[in-house]
Amino acid sequence: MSGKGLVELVSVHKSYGNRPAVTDVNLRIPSGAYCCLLGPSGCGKSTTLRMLAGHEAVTEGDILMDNRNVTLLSPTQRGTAMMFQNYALFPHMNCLDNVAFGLRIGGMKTAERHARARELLALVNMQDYAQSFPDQLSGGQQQRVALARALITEPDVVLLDEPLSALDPFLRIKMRKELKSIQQKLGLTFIHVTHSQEEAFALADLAVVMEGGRIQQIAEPRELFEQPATPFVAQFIGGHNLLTAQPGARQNDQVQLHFDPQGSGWIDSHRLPAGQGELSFSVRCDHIDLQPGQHPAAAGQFAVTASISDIEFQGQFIYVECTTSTGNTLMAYLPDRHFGQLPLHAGDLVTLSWSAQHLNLFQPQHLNSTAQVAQPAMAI
Amino acid sequence: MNRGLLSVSHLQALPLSLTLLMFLVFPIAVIIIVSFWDYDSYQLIPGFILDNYQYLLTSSVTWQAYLNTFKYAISTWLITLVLGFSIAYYLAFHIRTTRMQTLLFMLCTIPFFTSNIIRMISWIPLLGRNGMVNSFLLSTGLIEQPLEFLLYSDFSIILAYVHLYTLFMVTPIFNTMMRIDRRLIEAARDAGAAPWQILLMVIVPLCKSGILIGSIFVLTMVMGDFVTVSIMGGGLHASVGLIIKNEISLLQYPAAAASAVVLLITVLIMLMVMFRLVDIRKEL
Repeated sequence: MSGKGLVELVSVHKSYGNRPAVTDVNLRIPSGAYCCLLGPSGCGKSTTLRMLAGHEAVTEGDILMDNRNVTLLSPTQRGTAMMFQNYALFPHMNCLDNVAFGLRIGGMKTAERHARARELLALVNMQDYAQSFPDQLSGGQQQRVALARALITEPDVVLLDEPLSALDPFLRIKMRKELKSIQQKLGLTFIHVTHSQEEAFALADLAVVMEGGRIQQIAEPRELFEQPATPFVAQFIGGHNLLTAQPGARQNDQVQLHFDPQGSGWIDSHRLPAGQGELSFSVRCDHIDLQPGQHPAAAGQFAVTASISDIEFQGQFIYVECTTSTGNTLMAYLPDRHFGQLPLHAGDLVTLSWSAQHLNLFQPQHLNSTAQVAQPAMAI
Repeated sequence: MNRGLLSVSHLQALPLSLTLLMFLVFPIAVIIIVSFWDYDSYQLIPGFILDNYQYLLTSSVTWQAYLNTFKYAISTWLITLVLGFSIAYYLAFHIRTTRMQTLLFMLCTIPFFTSNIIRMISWIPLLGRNGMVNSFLLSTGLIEQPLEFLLYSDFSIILAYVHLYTLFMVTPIFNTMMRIDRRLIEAARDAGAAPWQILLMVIVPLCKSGILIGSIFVLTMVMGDFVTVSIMGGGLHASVGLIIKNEISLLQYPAAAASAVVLLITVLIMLMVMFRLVDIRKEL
């Protein structure tokens, strides 16, 4: 571990004219971490990356690297290197010269810089292609060369702008393993922009979900999936149902929640967020159990009845879409082996139930920022 | 089957082949043949003599004319290259909106709304002994005598060439510049390249084909020109094209043909050298 590559963004804002692109971003990425900036297109993740790289001016706020304010410094002075979306290899240079470009700029002698470039080509397993030109290489090979080019200036922080999006799905999985292993081998901080939650889950030590130019949640991938902080996050990473509930009767330290009129369940009152009125929560699709017919909620369970509107076979699981009497859609992922024992068909009345501890309540202050997220929950 | 296909494709190539044959191969063949003929004041005498070439290649007038023509060609080429590259660079990299780019590019083409001759003649009242430039400089007291080199000089000839041909340099270079992926420039900047390094190591190499095409336009046009030299040179300056034109007006067709053949060969050699430097098929 180099111990370098600590990156901090302090109240960073970016606007183009009057249009804000990134608002109030505060983020601390520890040295040697693999951080994924995750979000839909136009969420500000690429702009944030470009500001880190020094290719986009910061409107307000500061960027710190290893406790050094680098807001106004050039990319080389920052010690960052960027890998571009379509790799941006120089078409008039062979791989060796492409990789050695940063050293040529630094004024290193040809023999010396070529020797160093060969080492890096070997690191990414491209030593046999030193004399090839970019247009003779496949997407994956170009990507390796681009990575070698980014690494040659010995950066502390490597910035990757959707590095895998141009590859086919099979190669994407292979290359993401390589990225991760190179990152671990060199102990560098990698900051990787992606719109694929699958990629972020597989790679990241730290995932940052952005939407509308704001950070929605900063967490490890596992926490992100188990406890999405906002309805947007739950929706974006997929596999979650979003519902709203009204608190009702209290008994001891339990509170009854009503949702979708006839659905209800009890939870510990200390889990309730401060304030009164409507609550919003999510529950994972794979935490929902299905039973044919109408049943009351068992102790410690939430239950609601609905009719099946669609059943899809998805391989590892069966996707069941249900519609409640008020028109809310709930999705459940049933393991194949359970589904085989249940005679379920579209149109059947079923009871959906889940354990109270699987209920993920959103804090009300998080609801405001996602008021614009009005689209229905998407199934993955 | 194969033969049938062959004849169909031959048939499809026929119109173009005929056109080229009639308008390119035939005239050149005629010129080459006539260049070996004899002539007197009244008529062309068919034959095969080398006198035309011998006279041409041993005359100091020819060598002087070639020297002059090369001087014009190379000066014009250098100036239009620098100007054309700078204008194209400005249009391609400094103007952000496509609308503004189109507008400014149209502005560059305005001189082409009038003919060559008019554009050249319009320089005369500006540059003449009592022209606008001289009167202005005299009235401000910067000079006491009118500047003689402004008109009917190498200066005015090259000025007119630059005026006429810069756009032929701007257009192809601008085209290749617009095709450069802007992320390449960012990638170079990311590697620490200063603006001049980006220019020399990234932009210029990627504009090679545009520079070559522009250079071909400018060099061939200047090499073959006679109008500009005769108007802007005031009849005092010789160029290869002008010699050919004079020989034609004196009805010395075989001599003119021989000059034309030598000029053609010269230009072809120049083109070969240029194509050797840049592999145009690879670049396009």
